Order: sequence, then C-alpha cells, then structure tokens
Amino acid sequence: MTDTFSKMHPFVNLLFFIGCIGFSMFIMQPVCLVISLLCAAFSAAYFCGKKAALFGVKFLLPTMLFIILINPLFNHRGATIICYLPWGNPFTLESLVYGCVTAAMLCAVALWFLSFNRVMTSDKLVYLFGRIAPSLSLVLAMALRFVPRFTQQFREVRIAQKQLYSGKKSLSAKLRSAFGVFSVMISRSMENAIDTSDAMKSRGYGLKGRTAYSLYRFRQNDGVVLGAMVSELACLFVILFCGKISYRYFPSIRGEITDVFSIVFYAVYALFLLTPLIINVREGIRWKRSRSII
Amino acid sequence: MKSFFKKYYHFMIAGVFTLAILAVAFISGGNIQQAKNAVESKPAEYYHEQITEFSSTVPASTVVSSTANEAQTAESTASTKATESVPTTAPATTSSTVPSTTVKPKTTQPAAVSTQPATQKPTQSTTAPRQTVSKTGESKKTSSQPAIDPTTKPKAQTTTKPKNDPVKTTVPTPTKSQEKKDKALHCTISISCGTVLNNMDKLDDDLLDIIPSDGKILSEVSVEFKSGESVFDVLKRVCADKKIHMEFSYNSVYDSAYIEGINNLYEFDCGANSGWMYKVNGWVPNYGCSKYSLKDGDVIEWVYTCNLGYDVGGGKVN
Repeated sequence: MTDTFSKMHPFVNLLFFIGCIGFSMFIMQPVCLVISLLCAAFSAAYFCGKKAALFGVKFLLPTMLFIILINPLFNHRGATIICYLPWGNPFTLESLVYGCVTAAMLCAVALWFLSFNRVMTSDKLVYLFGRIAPSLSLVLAMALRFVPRFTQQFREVRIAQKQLYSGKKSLSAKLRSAFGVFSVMISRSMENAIDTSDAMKSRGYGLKGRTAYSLYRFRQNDGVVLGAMVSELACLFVILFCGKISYRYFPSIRGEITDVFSIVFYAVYALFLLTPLIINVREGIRWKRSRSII
Repeated sequence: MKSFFKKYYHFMIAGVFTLAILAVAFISGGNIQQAKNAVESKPAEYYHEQITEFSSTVPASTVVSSTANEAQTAESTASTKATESVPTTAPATTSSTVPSTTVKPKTTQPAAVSTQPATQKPTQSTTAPRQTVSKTGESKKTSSQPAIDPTTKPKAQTTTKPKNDPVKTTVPTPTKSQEKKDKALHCTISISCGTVLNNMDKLDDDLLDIIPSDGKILSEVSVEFKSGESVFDVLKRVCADKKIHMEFSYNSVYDSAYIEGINNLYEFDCGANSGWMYKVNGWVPNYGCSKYSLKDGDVIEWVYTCNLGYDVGGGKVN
C-alpha cells in the first residue's frame, strides 16, 4: 500500500478534508449522501483497514439503527401517515426517511474523520497553524491527541491496578477502584498537558524564526492536485448556489435528482471525494509498472 | 455470556445508575406537579361554590389562570358577604373582581350599583361616582350579583385584575371522572387557516402546497361525542378519521394538550406570532383544549393565527 496522499503538502490534505466533511454535513440530498457515504467507507477502508471495518460494525451500525428508530418517534411531521403511535401522534413516512438520511450523514462524517485522524497527524496541524496561531494549533494538536492517548493510558492504569489489588471484590470495592482509576487518569492527563506545554515552551515554540518539526515543500504535484480540487470545489459551489441541489423532506418528500445539473454535480462530487484514492491507486500502479520493468 | 457480563460490569452499573437517577427525577418531578395541582384545585372548587350562589347565568368565558388569583377572588367574595351591611363612602378606584353589574337604567352615574346592596347604601350612589364597571364580555348577562365594596379590601383590589371566572361549563373537570352517558351528543368542528392567505409572504415556500386555496383544512362537520369529552378528544378523533395530520404535545404546566401543528402547518410557520387556537361558539378560551368539556351543540373552530390571536378574535385582552 502506497500512501502518496498523506505525504503531500498538509494544506492539500486539509482542504480535502474540510471540503468533504463540510459537504457531507450540509448537503442532505439522498444521492449525494450515498456518494459521500460510499467514498468515506472506501477511504476509511484504504487508510485504516481492519480498524475501519470493526468501527463500522461495532459503532456505526448500532448508531444508524438507533437514529432510524428514534427519529420517527419524536418527529411527527410529514404528510404520509403510516400509523399512529400509542401516545396518539402520527408515525410518518417522511420522518422515517429523514431518520435514514440523518443516519447516513452522521456515518459518512464519522468515517471521514476516521481517515482524517490517519492522514492529518498533529505535526501536520502544527506545521500549518504553528506560525499563524501557535497556541491554538498546539491546543488543537493536543486535543486531537487526547482521546486516543487517554484510552491507552486508561487501559494501562487499569491493568496495573488489577495486578496490584487482585482477588474477589464486592460491588462497592469495585466501584471505588473504578473511581480511583478515573481520578488517576484525570491527574495524569493534566500532568501530560502541563508537560507538553512546558516542553514546547523550553524549545522556544512560537518564537520568531522557529521551523516546524516536519518540513513540507509545496511541489508541482501538490499544485496540480490543489488546482484540480479548487476547480472541482468551485464547480460544486456554483451548482449549489444556483439552487439546483435542493431536496426537501417535510411536509412531503420532493426534489429533482435526475436532471442534468444534478448528474454533473454527482460526478464532480464523486471525483472530489475520491481524490486521495485516485492519487494513491495511480501511484501504486506506477510503482508496480516501474518495478516490473527493472 | 458470563464473561461478557463480567467484562462490561462497570458499564452496566453505570448505565443502571444513570437510569435510576433519571427515573427518580422523572417520578419525583411528576409527583411535584401532581401535588401542585392538588393544592391548586382546592381554592378553585371553593371559589366555584361561592360563585354559583350568585351567578347562575354567568357564561363561560375565560379562566382564572393562577392559584393566587383564584384564592384572592374567593377571599374578596367572602369579604363581600361580611361587609355587605356596612355602608361605606370612600371612593372606589379599581374595578371589582366579580363584575358588579345590572346597572339600573335610571341611574345617571356610571356607578355599578347592584340590586342587593343598593337598598343598604342609598347615599353611596351619590358619593361614590368612580366605581367602574368592568367591561368584560360577561358583564352584560350577569344578574343579581352583589356589588363588592372595594374599599374594604383595598389590598386585594389593587392586585386583582378584572377577569372572568371559570364557572359552570368551563370548570376544569378531568375527562376520566365524568360519567359516560349513552345519549348521543353532537358538536360541529372545523379547521381553517384562512389567516395564512393574508400573510403568504411570511410563509415558508415549502408549505405552499399544503395550504388549501380557500384556507379550509376541514369544513364544518358534525361529530358525535360522549359526555365529558374535551375539545382535544374530538379534534384527535376527527383528524384520525379524516386522515388529517395533527401533532400535539402534553404541557404539564397547563395540564392540557398543546396542538403544535395540523395538516403539517405548525406553530411559527407563518411568522413568529403564529400558531393554532380554538374557538368554541365564537369565543377563544384562554386555557388548553383538553380542559374544555364539550356541551351538546357546541361549535368548535380551530383557527390558525398569524398574530397572537388578534386576527381570529382572541388575544390577550379577551
């Protein structure tokens, strides 16, 4: 597996993720959502492999089902009444469909973030924002790093505690030990934060003339990809602001999904969302070919 | 399975704990509400008994909204009884709580001198010129009510506003406790959103095709109902029968259902002051539709207002 996309200039990566997550969040048109969901799944599978599949089955599927079930129970809008709920409000087709759409949207965004975490490492964020807003980028990097680090250290502390105080325990003792682990983790994570900021300060972080840990150069390749992405985004925005991609769910489902503008939009959208995959697959093919020649 | 339980022990305990807290909050919250209602209902009942002695023909118009007011009214009514025989001469500046009416046609002053106490204070009619008649809708129809001497309870009067009372038909009676009679009762119900037609600019474009061209979502139909049923019960049944979309929510503060939307036309859909209101026999009650127990021959109109009820004959003043 080659990962050329991750090695490109961080700005290209960031623009891609801002674009795809933003579009996934705000376009509630069903076809666009399906495209986004599929592309997000492909990307997550490519970047994270097995982990993505596990995440999808363990976390996303239950969430999706939950949202699909819960939405019609609380949202009663919609012209097509299927039946009446026990407490008297209508159960409508529109709210059911809207639940599905919302679930797809959330899943797509979650999957995009899976790839995001893999590609946008904290050193890239610090590289991008370290000069403009040093403290903000440090906080951002620390915050993004916080959850995975917390879970890892939580596991460590729990194992240590288990080894120290083994044996059968009553319910209250177990609860007490769980609270103990939690309080240990709180103080540990605070200490981590202070350590990090102290270390960064002593290295002169944020001072004038400091360079970042990673050095990225804006190459011609980056320029080509950036230009392609910008033109795709411009095309998408033009179609969006013309109001061609509108779809409504309440009070009745209505929207055009097969006219020319929509089809152009789908094509450009899919092209944009598949940018990292296209780059990586193309690079892989090239690599293979050049190797076979030798 | 066992190992699974063992593994996720903490999570389960945390979940149960959270649920328990939520359950306690839910139940105790409900209890508090009930207790409040119990307290509230007492003075209302008391007041009701007091009032019916005098006013048998007071039409149901509006309701006293808060407990404090009810208690106060009851108090002042009681005080009237006690002070009836004491003639006073001090000027009355505020209007009385129970509208003192039956103005004799011959009296020149706008003073509200009622039949009963008038005999006892003939001098007052000349010296107390500023006793105002409360101009609420019911005042015309009431008869033989005692005038309240406003001066005896100045404190109560300054705070009480001229208001109508929940007498007779409109006394909040829980539907369940009513005996169900088999006799067929009828009322007519209609649902209209005619005011939206005058405010099309405020309406969301998506909703254009659900607004009927004449504004009538349901033209007047006669429906049967059982004794003790409220306006809400009838609306719910009619909407289910006629396949009209209707969403409501229960409001525990007013102990009544609140109609959020009918036919997918919701509150706030036509401007910030819009929503559904109901009228019975042309009058807009200022309490919830679950509280109105229907009488035979009532005419229910559900109307959509775009301006807090002023455009459909309701509003604050009423």
